[in-house]
Amino acid sequence: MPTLSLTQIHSSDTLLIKSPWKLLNKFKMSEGTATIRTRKFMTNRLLSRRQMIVDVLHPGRASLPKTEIREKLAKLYKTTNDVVFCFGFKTAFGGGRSSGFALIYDSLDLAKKFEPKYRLQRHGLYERGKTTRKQRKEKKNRMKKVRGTKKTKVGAAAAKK
Amino acid sequence: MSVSVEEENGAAVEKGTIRAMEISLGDVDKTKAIFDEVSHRTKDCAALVAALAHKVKGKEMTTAKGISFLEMKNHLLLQYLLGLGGVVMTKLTGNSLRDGCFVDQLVELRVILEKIKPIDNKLKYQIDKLIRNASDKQPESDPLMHKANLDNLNPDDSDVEDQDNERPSGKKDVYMPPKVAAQPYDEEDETPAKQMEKVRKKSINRLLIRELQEEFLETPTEIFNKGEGFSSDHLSRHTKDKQRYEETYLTRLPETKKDKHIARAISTMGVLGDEITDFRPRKSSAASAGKKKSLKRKKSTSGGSKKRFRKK
Repeated sequence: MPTLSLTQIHSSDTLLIKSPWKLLNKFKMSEGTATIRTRKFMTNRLLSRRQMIVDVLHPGRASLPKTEIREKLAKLYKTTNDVVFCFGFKTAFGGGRSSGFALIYDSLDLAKKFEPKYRLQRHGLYERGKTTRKQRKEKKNRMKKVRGTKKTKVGAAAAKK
Repeated sequence: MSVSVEEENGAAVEKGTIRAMEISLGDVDKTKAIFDEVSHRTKDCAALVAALAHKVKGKEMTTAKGISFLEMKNHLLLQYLLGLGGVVMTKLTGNSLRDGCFVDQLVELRVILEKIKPIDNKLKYQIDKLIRNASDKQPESDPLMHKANLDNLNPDDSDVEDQDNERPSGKKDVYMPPKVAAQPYDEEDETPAKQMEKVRKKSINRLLIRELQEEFLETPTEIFNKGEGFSSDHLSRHTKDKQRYEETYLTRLPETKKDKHIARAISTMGVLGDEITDFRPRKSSAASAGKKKSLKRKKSTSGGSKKRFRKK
């Protein structure tokens, strides 16, 4: 039996390399259709959004990813994808049913104004600072030792170290 | 066939007209009398109004410091009269009221007048008093003219004495209990065994009564599906409350390690027996709030907007 070198492996052979579990999952995922239902719909004029509870029925498959649910809700409520924010999805015991919450804003600007930053981050609309908490506190303590305009120099100099 | 229908219609129309004529002939005299009266009254009214207007123009009466509410009411009533006149006119000329704008106007004015009626009631006393002051000269000795003397309401006055707290003559330092409304006695210091006994008796009694009700009454029996498989009353209530809270405030409550352990313990069959036969009295949130939890809550509450979900 000829041994396969790494260079000879083509994309057509990838099926052989993938783990059997992944194969199984591939076949499993397409089984069954998912239904999305909304409950307790309320128009919140104060925060200019529509809020609701979303029930997803997905017998025989894993819970739907949030992006898919966003698409479906956007189609249902005739808005674009980017103003729909869904969160808090929990699958009921035994599977097949999960429920979560969804907020549909009137416009993206209002969404940026009212949504908490971590949810905006999930949509890529907000970037959190890269500095860790420890580094910020250390910088602050370094700055405490110096007076006046030297504070900025101290912060930059110590970071470069 | 069509001819007979026409004849029938013709007869009906004739009948209708005869009836209408009968009604109108009877009313013509009445309307004549009413119009005469209206003309008389308007002449007198016009004379009054002319005199008033002359006085105001001649600066004999100043209208600067009047009550604006009454002025507004005057304007509204005038508009209403004009509207009424318009309605009468449309009716006399034979036009339909629906085409004109008078009815809408009248309805609007009527609604406004009815809404300001309670304000009218409230101002009635003050207006009457003002008029009385302006018209007659009441003497100073009228007690209703004066403001209340708040010094007389001083409770430390020695003249006023509470009759109930008067001590019986001769006996000193006798304790008189305060007269308070009766309250139910809640025995908290009982031993847990005694408490369980009480609760068991009560529950058995309740079960008996419920069984008898089912047997003899004709109301349909309600069967509750208390959660698939294993869930005690306390647990299902807890989960229901939690779900209700989450759905109202659109948040997910965090599941602590304690909750996870409890959930795992519930799912094992060994615990079921105790859950079913546990008759310990479960305190309601109101009772538990009074004792230990009030101390704990004083730290945590800080005037937050969301209601806290308290675990029972």
